[in-house]
Amino acid sequence: MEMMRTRGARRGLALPVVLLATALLTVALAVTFTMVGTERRVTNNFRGQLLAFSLAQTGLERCTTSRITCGFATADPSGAYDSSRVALSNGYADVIFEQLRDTIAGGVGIYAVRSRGVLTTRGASADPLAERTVAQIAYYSPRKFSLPAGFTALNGLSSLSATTILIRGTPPVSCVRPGVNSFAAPVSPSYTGTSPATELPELIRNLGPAVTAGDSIRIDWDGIVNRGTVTPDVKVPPGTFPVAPVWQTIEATANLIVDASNSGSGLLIVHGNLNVSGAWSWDGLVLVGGSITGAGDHTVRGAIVTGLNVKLGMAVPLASDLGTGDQRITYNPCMLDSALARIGGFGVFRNVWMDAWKAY
Amino acid sequence: MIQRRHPRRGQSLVELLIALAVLAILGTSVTRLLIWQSRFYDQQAQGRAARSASRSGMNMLLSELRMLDASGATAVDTVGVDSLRTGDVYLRVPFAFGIVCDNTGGAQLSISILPVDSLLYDDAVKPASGGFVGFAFRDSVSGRYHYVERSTMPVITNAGGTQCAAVNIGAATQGRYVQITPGVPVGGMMPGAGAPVYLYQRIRYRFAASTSIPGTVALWRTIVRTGADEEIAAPFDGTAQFRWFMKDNSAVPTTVAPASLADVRGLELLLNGISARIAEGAAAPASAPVSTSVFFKNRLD
Repeated sequence: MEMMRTRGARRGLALPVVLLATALLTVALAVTFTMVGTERRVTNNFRGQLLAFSLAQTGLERCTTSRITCGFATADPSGAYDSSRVALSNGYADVIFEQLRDTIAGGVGIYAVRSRGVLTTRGASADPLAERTVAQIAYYSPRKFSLPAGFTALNGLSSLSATTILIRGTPPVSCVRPGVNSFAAPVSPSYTGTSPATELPELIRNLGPAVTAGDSIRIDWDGIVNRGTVTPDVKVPPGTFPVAPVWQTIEATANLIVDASNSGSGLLIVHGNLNVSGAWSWDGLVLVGGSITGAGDHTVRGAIVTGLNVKLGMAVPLASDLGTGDQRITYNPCMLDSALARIGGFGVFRNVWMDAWKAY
Repeated sequence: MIQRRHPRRGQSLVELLIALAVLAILGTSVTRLLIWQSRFYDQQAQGRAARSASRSGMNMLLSELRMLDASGATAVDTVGVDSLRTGDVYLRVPFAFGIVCDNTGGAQLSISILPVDSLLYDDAVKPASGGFVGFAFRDSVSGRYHYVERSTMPVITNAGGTQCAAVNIGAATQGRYVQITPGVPVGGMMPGAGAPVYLYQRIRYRFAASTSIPGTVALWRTIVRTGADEEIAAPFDGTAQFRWFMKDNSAVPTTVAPASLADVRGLELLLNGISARIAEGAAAPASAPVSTSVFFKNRLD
């Protein structure tokens, strides 16, 4: 008997089971990813906040340490409001100096320095940006050297060979400021010279005995020479004396020889002796541990102090002698201010830091 | 037309048994998978909750602790009223900084206040509920702060602009002038014009039993002047505590209350967050041990 077989459609369970399992796994995975994503977002928020704080603090510290390297045009705070944007890894910091008090009558200026750190780098999951502001109160005290004269020679000065010598303690008309004596020196060595010294004889200031004369010069020479209290733009050596420097602070740690090509402006510090040749001119302040010697026409608009090593207990150096030529030294406090501005005493009150600045 | 219906074949008993067996195996596997997923999810959620507890406690603490003066920690009580407590700390927390303009014979202190969040400021100086108890001014000679605090909240008004103008002190953008009455008593150390100053609240932080999640520890923040208590983060386990970084020994924090609070330079916070409940299948609450160190920024050494 032939049996006719007809195959009917059999309804299996495999497909529904697979679909169900797939759906469940998909849901579970989705939940897990969501959960991990949320967790990651929370963590990244926290991380962003810390990074923004780090950016703000970095900007604050960098700009209060050195404004120039921080992008400010001047080393000292200028004006009532001064700002710079500091590019940092992962973001930037907007640093603002806001003046609360000006430097009145030689006093201390007060500034509020705030830094707003902004995190700009988003992570792979488009992490949110973050901002944070920190602030610190800072002060600025313009560097003031109390100078008794336009030319102060703790080691004395000889102008025996000078063609002419002019030392003035009265500032030029363009700089309306009080004058000082023309020349100051100890009782001995003092000034010796036969050449005409306009304004010099009648305005010599006697600083007393040579060994104590240095006490009347309120310059921390020991700090400058031995403790680096003045940060120079160029230190010679290892650096070389720049050609025509403009308002720079140059420190020579030994003897220094300059000529006409080294004319310029700023603060010139020489630990040893300074030898000047040719038509050399300088606007600003010249501080010399030993003596100045040389030849040629020399012009200084500002002030000169020599023989400062006396303040270190060293023997009184030989008297300065500018040599042959026309020697013109004019006291100019405006030039001194410009020369000393870059070494003004700027700093922060270390324990006046705040994390509560209104940043909106 | 005659249609022949083909008889459909039924499934044999063997087939049925095999199908049942296969279904049982599949069902067991899927159920196990579901249970495992559920537990995993729950454990992760509890772990996240524990970490969240640790983090939420840190945010407020970090900001306030960083601004402390080195002598800001004024009292430590290691004898707790709660068995879970391992220590607490009283702090002088600055909420506004400024510059002294004038101290008119000790009667009034005029200040140029730097910009500060208005809500924070207003809350702190609110007579009924604020925590403002005094101010500290910086001595220009030693650089240290001198605290002026009285039992009652000083009166603070929006005035002092004239006194500040007289000494050439201006206000920062969005800053303000205020006068505090009384000022610095005459006779002792007096602030000069230009001296930095800050206004502060006394805040007590402590780990104590949580009321929102019984059986666990919470971080509490109390405004000392008013006694207003706030449970700011929970739950933590019983090991949550403060440790102390001392001057010249900042590498290892100590759990012993320091003899000289002036030597405290920072705190280590052990915020061991735990989950509010035990996750399914777990033997104990999920924990997230977090420790962080905060050093006071307003210190000289």
